[in-house]
Amino acid sequence: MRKKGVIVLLVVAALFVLWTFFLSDRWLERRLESILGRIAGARVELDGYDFSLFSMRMQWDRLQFADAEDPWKNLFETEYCVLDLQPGPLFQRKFIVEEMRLDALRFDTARETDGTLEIRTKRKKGPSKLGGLVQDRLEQKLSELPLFDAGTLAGNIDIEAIWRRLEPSAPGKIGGLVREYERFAEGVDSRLTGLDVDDDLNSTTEDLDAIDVDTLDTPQELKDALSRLDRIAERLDGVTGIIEESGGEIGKEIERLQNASGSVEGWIEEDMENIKNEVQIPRITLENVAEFLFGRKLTERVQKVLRIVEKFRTVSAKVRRFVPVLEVPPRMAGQDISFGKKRGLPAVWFKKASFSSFTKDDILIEGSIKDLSSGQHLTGKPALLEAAGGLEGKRSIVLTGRFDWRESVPKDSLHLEMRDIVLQDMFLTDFPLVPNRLDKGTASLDAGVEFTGESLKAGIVFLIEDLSFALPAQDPGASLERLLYEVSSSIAADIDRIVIEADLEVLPARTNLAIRSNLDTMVTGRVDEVLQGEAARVTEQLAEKLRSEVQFPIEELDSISRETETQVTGKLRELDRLRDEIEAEIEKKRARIEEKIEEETVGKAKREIEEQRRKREEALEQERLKKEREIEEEKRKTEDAIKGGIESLF
Amino acid sequence: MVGLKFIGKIIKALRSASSPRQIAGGLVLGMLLGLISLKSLFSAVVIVLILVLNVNIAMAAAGYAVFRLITWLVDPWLHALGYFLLVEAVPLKAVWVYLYNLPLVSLTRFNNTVVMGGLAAYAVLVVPVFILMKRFVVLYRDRWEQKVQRWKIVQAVKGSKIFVWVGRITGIGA
Repeated sequence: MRKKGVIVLLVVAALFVLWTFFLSDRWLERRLESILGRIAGARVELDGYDFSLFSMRMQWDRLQFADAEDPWKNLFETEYCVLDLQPGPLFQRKFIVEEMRLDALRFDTARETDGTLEIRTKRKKGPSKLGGLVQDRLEQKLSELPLFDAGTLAGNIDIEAIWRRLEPSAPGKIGGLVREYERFAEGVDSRLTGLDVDDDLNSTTEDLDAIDVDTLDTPQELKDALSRLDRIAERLDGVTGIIEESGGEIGKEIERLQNASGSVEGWIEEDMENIKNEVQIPRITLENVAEFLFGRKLTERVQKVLRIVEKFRTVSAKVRRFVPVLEVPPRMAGQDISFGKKRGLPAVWFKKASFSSFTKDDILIEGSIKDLSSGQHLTGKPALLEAAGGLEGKRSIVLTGRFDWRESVPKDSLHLEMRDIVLQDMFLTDFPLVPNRLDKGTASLDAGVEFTGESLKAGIVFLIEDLSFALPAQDPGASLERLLYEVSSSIAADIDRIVIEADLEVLPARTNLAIRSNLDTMVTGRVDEVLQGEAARVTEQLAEKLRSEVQFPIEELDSISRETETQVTGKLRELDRLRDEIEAEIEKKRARIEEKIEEETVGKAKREIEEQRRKREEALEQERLKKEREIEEEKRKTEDAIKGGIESLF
Repeated sequence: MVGLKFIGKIIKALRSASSPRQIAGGLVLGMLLGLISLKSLFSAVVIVLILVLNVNIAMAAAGYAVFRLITWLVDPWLHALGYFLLVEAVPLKAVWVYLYNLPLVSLTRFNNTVVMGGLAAYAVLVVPVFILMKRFVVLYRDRWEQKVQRWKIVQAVKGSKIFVWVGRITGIGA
């Protein structure tokens, strides 16, 4: 045995004891703040920390647990807290708390300093399964809930604002068509002027006038005149082609504009349809009225509970992961093999923790959490929460919770009972068209939420009795407001208790929300009637505005289309008439020239032929007469001869 | 500088008044320190033993340094050996489970593959190393000490201030 070595060991042991007495508290406080801060992802501060090695008791005067999402708020804070630790498991690096007492637990308290942790955890932050699916489903349900801006209707309806939002297109389109007609009219005028057909027609007329048929005598002059007429006719054909071509194009454009004008009715109808859709108010029926009234508020409340459970699970998961398991160890690090027995000890286990807490309304809540551990599969026990409290010693609030993470599918349930809750100046619903603000009342609530893995089931029964609604002191001026005021007043007068029952189910495949209340029937009939009537009135006002907006453009369109068409067709008709006149004149002169030519050429030859024929006929007639005479002479001579013969016979 | 210090430690230890058994004892305890993790409770126990038992501390330090380097070099094999003993050697599992759930034992980090591999290697090597070291010290002192003292490098080391300084520091184990 080496004396010097023993002395060194004794000195080291003495130093350790001194450190335990004088320095360990500050060191442990920093270590704890660091570890808890890494778990929370935000700053954790301990004040007045004290640890006694001999009694294994840890205590502090104040603990602040900053919220990683909002570093200027504490997730919770406590006042005095004392923990009795089991010494044995500490040698196994297990933090087992036999009993814990925590005073004045408060949630969501303001911080004086920023709670951001400079060195944030390197772990990638992502939503847990619960936060992922259920949160998404609830968000989806919220988006599906009737988003009804009833506040707009409840106040003065600004028709102009709705009109600006709608931006009806018909007046603009009609105006555009009018401008198109104007441009077309200007274009047509210049196009017809640019054709130069007037000059052509005038010069053609002049050329035609220059041909004086009466002065034409000789056949050659007549032939030349005919040729000139042919050329004039050809020029006229060219002009006619130009007129017909331009007329065809202009006609097509007129047809297109007329077709566009035919769409005006359609544009107006489209705008009317948009007006109807814009002003459409969802029907308030027995099936959906409770969703209108309480759906949004209920879903938001469930989301709040969800966030609490999620934080529980996240913190638990962080604690469980605190000692990382390395599967491919770096050099010299090795791999830790776990030989935990089925009923071994978890890393952290609060066997029993009692606490007192204050709500925001300063209601004292006292309760306990049992078996909160980082490894329920090791403890075999789920975490149990029991809390109760109320004002003036009344047990009006009872909260129980069970957080079971022993199996692979975590099961968490929370049940809240509240009795004799005094309601004062509370908004019952976000729906502004019913009596939504309670002046006073007494409520009781029975709510249960169950989370199983990625599913959620919630059931709520909310009862309000001895209630009185806060209604406006004076009758509102606007007609709708007055109507709603009357509806609210009548509902408020008819009702002395409200019962709301709600069931929410978020499953991987679907989300079901069912809400019922004894307000449903009253609200359905009365409010729906008022709202639908108001919607019809607004629709009619907007339709009237649309009609007045389009009236002038339509009249303008009719006028300009009529004028343009008259102008264009008149011009074309004038050209046609001029052309027809020239054509007629040409034909007339051609006929006269031809007549004269015929007279000069064909007539003369005919006369000669006639003369020759007459002479020939006269000659033939002379010949015939001569021959007849000769025949007669011969005949006479023959008769005479015969007579002479006969006579000679006798 | 580190090399000189190391050589000086060894020479001083070999020439010191310590018995061969003390020198060999220091070496095997240093070897254990080198083979297992310093974070293990074993290390604390071994350090206490080195301080309390009359072994040569300089040789323990030298043994730690040498076997730490060797451990670094053969780490994959130690990891594989430890993994085999802890996971694949099924008959031993009950022993590990029992030890694992004993207070304090888990602090030895015996369930770490490299620590277990180092312990297994130590169990195999401790006796041969102890015996060989003891014989080596005897042989050295009988046959080689005079020759070694005449080596220029040894002269240089002995003449250096560092040697004197190291001698003072490690004098506790002389």
